[in-house]
Amino acid sequence: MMRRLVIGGLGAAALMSLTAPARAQAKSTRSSNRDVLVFVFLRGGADGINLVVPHGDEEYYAQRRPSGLGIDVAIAREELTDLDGYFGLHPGLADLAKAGGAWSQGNLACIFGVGDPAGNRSHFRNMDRLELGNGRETGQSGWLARYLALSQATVREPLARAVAINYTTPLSLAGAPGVLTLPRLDGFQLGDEPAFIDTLDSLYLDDSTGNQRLRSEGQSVLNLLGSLERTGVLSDNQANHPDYPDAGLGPDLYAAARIIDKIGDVEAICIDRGGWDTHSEERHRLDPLASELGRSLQAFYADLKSTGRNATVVVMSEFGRRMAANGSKGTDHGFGSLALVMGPQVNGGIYAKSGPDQPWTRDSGSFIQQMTDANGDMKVTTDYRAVIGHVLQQRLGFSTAHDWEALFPGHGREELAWRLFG
Amino acid sequence: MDVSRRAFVGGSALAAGAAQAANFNPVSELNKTVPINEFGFGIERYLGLEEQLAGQSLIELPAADPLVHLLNRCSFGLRREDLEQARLLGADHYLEQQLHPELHPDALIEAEIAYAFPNTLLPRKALAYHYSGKPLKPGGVNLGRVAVSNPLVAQADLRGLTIYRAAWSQQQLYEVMVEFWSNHFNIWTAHSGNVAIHKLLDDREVIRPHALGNFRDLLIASAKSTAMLIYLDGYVNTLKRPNENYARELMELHTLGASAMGQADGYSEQDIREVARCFTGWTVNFTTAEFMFDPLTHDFGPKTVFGETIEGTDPVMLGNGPRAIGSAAGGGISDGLRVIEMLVRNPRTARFLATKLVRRFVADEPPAELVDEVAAAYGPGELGGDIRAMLRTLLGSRWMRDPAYYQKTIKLKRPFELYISALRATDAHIARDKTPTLSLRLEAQQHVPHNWEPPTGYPDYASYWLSSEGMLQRWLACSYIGHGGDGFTRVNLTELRNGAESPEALVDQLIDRVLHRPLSAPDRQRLVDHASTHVTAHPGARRWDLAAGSVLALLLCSPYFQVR
Repeated sequence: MMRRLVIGGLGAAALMSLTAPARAQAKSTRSSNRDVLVFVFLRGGADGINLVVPHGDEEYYAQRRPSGLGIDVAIAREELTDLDGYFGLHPGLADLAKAGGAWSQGNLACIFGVGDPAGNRSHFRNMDRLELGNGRETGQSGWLARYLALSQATVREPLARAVAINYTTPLSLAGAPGVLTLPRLDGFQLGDEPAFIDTLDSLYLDDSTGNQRLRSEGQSVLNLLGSLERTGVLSDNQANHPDYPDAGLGPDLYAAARIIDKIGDVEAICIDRGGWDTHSEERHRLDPLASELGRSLQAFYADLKSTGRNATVVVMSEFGRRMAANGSKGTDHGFGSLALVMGPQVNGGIYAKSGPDQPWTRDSGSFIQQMTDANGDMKVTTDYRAVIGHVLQQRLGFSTAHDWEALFPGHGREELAWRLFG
Repeated sequence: MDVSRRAFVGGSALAAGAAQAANFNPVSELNKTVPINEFGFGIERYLGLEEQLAGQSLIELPAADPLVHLLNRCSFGLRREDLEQARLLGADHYLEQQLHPELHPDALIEAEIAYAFPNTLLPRKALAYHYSGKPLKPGGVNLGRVAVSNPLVAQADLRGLTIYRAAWSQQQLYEVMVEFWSNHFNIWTAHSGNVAIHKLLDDREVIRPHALGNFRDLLIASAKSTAMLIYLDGYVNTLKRPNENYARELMELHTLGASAMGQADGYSEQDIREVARCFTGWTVNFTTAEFMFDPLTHDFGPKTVFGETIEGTDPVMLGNGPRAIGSAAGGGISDGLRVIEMLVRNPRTARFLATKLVRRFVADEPPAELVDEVAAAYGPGELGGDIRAMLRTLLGSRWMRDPAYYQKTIKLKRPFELYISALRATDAHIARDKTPTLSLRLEAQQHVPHNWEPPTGYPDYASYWLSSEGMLQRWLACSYIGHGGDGFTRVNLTELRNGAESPEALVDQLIDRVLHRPLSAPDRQRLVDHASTHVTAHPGARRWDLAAGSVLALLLCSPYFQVR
């Protein structure tokens, strides 16, 4: 692309000035070998206890397999891959527990009771809460955008600091300029002759309009068209990586792995997967999704191991589902959910608190009973911001010197009850 | 991208398997409920990002003249012949005509629709049977052009006729409002088996009859819409198994807005449960494809909604006659109707609708004073819900008419508007039978009509649509059309350039013909230089047509055409 020679890194420089304001720069101290955060949002309210199943708890089977109704939403013991004699993985997640799997390597943390204590049971409102991270359901910026604004880029003129593998930019990145949003790696091309692109470029390049949004987006895309091509990331072929499923999370996590491998500038990647709203015929819907999730996560984990790159995957959903099955062989909206944290540096295990200062252990009694609130849902005992904050702090260099109030307004700094790293 | 990315809300088995290449869009919520000028305390406060992200206009361009601006905002883009007609009539007369499509029918478009999509005009039951692939019983008349069809054809026909009307109807404001209400009362046609069929009926019998009428009538029709009853689970909302899905969205999305949740004059979780009880028994007769109230599944007990008591009735005492549907005191179909009346009269509804209308026509961040004026035009009490009056206030306001005001209010075209406006600006030819396939170009931009999964409707603010992928797809769509068509459409470049055979004449002709607004001097010069280079680089008999295509594509891709 000829025009790149003409305007050089101008777009990237403009982007830089937006993403790293003076105040943040002055405060920032960070190591260069920090992880890339891969945030996977399971939309629809994933049924955590049917993914990581407390099969040692008879109460689970009592709730999920009520007698006399012909309803069975439970995962039978013989289907599960046992983890520790009490919990087992949904058959779709079995790859994670095989030899070399993230669980087997001690790198998969399963945290129960995660959510926003002030949250609710509406998909849309709770998703906004989790993505805005400001304790409210409205706002202009997401927590990941604020993290980027508060911290410093790893390189001077980053091609992109964050990537959304999607058609549109998720709310967690709202307000972050220069996010690269692309649904797949092989289609990011305009395909016109250089003279056309040069003139188009000039129409989006007008000093008098300063940092206007449309122009800056146009400029940044024109820059990305050339610079992405140079990274080689666009030409990589998923067929070379057969372990990834060919739909849904498969191509997305595959793309994430390639971006992490080829574009050193990227600090965070957002991925979405919908379809988890299992009100009826739950197994019919959940099983293929679980399999896609398990295979994709394991392929990504193995990929990281082989490329030697550092990344931490955080998987969340806007809420969990009700403990008891409903009348349609499904489960209704619940409250506390399951979060997964996976990466080469993660201390794997099952983590749950049954109360503010009460870690759940097998000796505490029935997991289901201990974790259920008055509504029949899983309690929220671990704030999702504590999980994210912990990862940012431990693996992305967001230090205690940083302004937590700005990262999570109205919440501030909260320590996770466990150390998931080191 | 995977198939079921959108399949997240409903329990639809079909959705998971349907070939809907789409993703779920998380930002939708912002749009659905709240004015986005409600800031949380965030980093933008003190990092100075706020101005960059929110308060600023998207771009500053030389102002369009007031009539061009008005038409740009209340149509799917300028078309030369509509602009000429508006110039003849003057802004006020043109608007009055636009507000009364029933007095100025567009016979041509209706004839085209009847030709291109005849099955969409079948009587209700026949239509349902036709598209579900079941012929009517012997004795029934098979009116369809195709004997046996299926729901995917219903979906394609609905998309096709939506695009066709948006592009070519002269009743542009009406079509804009049809889109507005279709989005407000969003129904995802890929939700499950027959929803597309029912949405065809919803479009015809709920949205279109009331788009410029009274909001009360529209809301009642929507509550009884078979498509809505399926999409938001109303048809399975019964005494034994209440389903709160519709009740929640009725208040959160259709009337009061999410900001009313937990407010004294708003609603509570308890209200949602009680409203759901009021609507038990509102269901679908799948034999006739009609709304039906089923007293056997209605909860006749007393309810308390928004602090008001709705008396119960013992259904046994009502017998089996017509009175079994309820009594004036309460219990029966009147419960739901009373809820609707309370919602229609709640000033929060007027304000919520006014905010959305102002956002649609004026700015992503609705000016508060204009919202006040438009909300006031909604009308009080039993007179409330006057959509036409709200629009008259809105479209007559200084925010629409006075350059000093409207220059500050930029609306980015959403992809559907961008694509349709490009077709209109260039008078592109669409083969009638190709109309449904036009949605392929919109699929790449994630803005196919009636294809948004959650009940929020497509977002109506720029930051959602502006992303690197979004920008790239906008340019691709514009570039295809500008260069002469994209396989579904054909643009006559010879006709558009109108004999121009110099770079200056070509650029000025296309600006005048397509853009109807001035370019800045440097931008005009850039295009002149481009045209000049282009004819040199591509000599030959068609060089001026080819240069016209390149300049036209640039004009459509430029910031000037990307905003309304």
